[in-house]
Amino acid sequence: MKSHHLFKRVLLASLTLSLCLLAIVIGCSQAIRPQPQAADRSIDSASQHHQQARPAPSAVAPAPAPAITESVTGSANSLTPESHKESRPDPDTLTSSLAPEDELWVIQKSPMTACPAPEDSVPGAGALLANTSQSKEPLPIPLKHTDVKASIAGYIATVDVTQQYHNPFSEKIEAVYVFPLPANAAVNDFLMTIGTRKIRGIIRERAEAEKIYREARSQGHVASLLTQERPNIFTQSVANIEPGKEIDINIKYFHTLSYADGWYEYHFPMVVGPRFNPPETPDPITPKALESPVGTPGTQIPYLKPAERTGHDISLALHVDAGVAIEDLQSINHRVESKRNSATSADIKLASDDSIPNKDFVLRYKVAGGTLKSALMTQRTEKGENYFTLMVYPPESLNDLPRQPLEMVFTLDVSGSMDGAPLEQSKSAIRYALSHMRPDDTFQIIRFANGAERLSPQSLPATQNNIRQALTFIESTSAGGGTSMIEGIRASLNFPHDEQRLRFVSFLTDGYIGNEAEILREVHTSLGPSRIFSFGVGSSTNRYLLDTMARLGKGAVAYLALNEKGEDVMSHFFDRISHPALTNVSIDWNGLDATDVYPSSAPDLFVGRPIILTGKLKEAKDTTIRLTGKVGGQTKEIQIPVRLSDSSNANPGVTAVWARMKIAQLSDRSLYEPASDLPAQIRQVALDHNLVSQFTSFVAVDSSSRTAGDHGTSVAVPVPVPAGVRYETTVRE
Amino acid sequence: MRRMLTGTVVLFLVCFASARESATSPSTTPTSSFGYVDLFVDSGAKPLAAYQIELVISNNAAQVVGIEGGDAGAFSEPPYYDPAAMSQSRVIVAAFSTRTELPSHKLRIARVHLQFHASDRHYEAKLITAATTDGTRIDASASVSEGAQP
Repeated sequence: MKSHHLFKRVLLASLTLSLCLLAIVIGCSQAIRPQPQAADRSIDSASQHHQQARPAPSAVAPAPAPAITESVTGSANSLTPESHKESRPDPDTLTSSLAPEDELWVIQKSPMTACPAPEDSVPGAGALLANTSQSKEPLPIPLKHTDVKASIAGYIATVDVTQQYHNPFSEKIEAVYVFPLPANAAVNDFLMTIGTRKIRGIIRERAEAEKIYREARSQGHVASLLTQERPNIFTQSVANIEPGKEIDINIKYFHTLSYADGWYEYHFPMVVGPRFNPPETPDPITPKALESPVGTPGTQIPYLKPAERTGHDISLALHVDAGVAIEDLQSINHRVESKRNSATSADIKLASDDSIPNKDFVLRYKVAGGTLKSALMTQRTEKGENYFTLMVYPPESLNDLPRQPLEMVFTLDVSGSMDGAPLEQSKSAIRYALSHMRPDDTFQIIRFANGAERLSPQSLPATQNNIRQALTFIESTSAGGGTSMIEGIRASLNFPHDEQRLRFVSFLTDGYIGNEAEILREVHTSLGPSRIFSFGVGSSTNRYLLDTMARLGKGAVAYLALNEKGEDVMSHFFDRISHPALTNVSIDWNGLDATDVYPSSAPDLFVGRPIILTGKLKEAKDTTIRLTGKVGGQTKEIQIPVRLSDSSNANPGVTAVWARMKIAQLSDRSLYEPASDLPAQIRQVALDHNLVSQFTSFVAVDSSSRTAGDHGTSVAVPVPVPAGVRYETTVRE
Repeated sequence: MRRMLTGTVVLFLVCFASARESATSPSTTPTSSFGYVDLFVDSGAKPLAAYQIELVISNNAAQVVGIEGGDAGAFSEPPYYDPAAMSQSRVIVAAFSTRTELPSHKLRIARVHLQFHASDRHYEAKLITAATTDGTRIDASASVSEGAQP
């Protein structure tokens, strides 16, 4: 009897266990079947070429929609509703042959090892895993086109950038795109367009904006988020793009143009170059191959291999209203079509056959007049505040004064990304400099990659013999290895200084590093009496790093495109340093009552290089501003007549430029004053002026409708390596 | 025996329900929901060329996550907001139109997208100003209404 009862219990227990297991299996299978519901996903791009395409449900996209294969995070095996074979049958066809109560399970081994994605709550989690084929067909990606419309008035540019996202896949996606903007761009407007509806984004503290975005994304709302990773690197995320649908993101920003030797320069960066991150770099910018694993902290940029391409292209139109006669126009990296509207105005358009976004757009235009009058622009806000920007040109009389003997230090980046044309151009520039030194100058040469190496323990007199030795040192240099720029900085600034001479340190680099904060902190700490003159070499240099090095180093910066001669750029540099700078500059506003002026201490004035000051005015009245400074031990004064009555109060962007310059100065200080309230100050300026910053972001949510499911798979937009940069030496496989 | 079988079936149903629920729940549990309010201006018979409205949400029950334009026509573009006046639950929006054909009477001039933090929500739309093309102030009124959640 006992055994009978025991048997019944065992039987019942077995039955219970079986039923429970069955219940769990059925429940789990329903979790796997509807593709958009899984928490962690990745996209296998290789399958996009292999699978028979499934038409997008909304039928908006004319092209066949590549399907997304899900893989279970952390496992090489995945359960998908689709076959693992290369020639995969349409899952719809497969399922149509089954009875309603039937289930189809297909066990697939992923072609790539699936990797743990970052925490799902992090925007951008997931990955575009692979495209290992060498197909000539463009890869389907969610960014179709970028349109840039810029307008220049005086020396302030107003730029509208529209990124056109779409979903070429058969399932809902989140698009994540890391892209560059000028480092001084004041991004102060953000629009998300869904069909004919436009939703203006709201500026919020970054953590708050990210939280809003995550929650909207998880609830199926179309949402977008713009964050700043560096002053010149941004991430755009667009959640819940349904198959076949399109969403446009419009970003508006202002920035001041640079000016050197009679030429204004407008610059629009198109791609972020691959960065080298030394160990322990916080928040790195990591270049990676398209199929490499995700999960690295920081910002990851997937790069296309040389044979790969996408359909993403760019159009750019620029209107220039110089205010004075334009004598010459030059597009440095691109073919353009230009039209002169009048002596002072022109329209420039990127040629349609030069629309691959793999190099900076650089337009220089020469304006009439050997010496420009210092130019004032003002803007009066609705609250009655007067903001101004003032471009101060150096006095002509500086040209008549000879320079002092110099100690010149040439610091050459010989890391892998400089391989090829950038290194050869840099060598050419240094050769020119060596051959144009004066006998009473001294010099030093330092090269750095994984470490740094000096030509000599101390600076050498510019004798024929020493110059020959230096030329041999330069010629023997080849590129390779990482970019331990910190070693180059220390080697350049921390060796015994020649007290008899003014030390000018020239860095020749593409600036492809991810530890900018560490580098800039070191520049501030070790600068001493040196002045830094940076030379950015390449088609897409890290201008944030080089501009800031020059600013903190109290010097200047010049850029050398791939098709320019190194000796020409160095020749301009020699012209500049052949005359003394106006140093220890102070400003008497002469009753103008200017406040909140940035930069708060005026930089040195070099021949051919104006400075831009910005601030607030309590009262707008005509006066004469007086700048005083030291030249060769003597005090010199420059008088700048300011006629506010001539300046329109409606110059758009002046307020945004002021706020951006204030943030730049606070950010510089936060590099070497970490335990301060500077982040809070930056945050407040950005919130008050609607600006994106490292602490503030734009977020936009369409709350009026929800897409089905929680949220889609994240797809990172892959980009080409910049023109002139070798994939093999810069991108981590 | 019957009791045991009943217990087994109940256990089966509980297991099934629990497995099914864990499979279909969103990966991120929503902590709050999203919705919107529409803002209206009634300018009577006068053509409306510009407006400025303050929207106040009581008790921090919601925060603004996007601003959309109103009905098609003069105010279909999203209005601008004053960032310095923006707080968790307050926003001032403003727009003007240069069109020759301007609307009159009651018009939906904007949709404000919100993230809700509480179910007890009250809104107030305060008209700061409304004007005609030549800048003349109009004696108008503003109102707000919450839209249906999707």
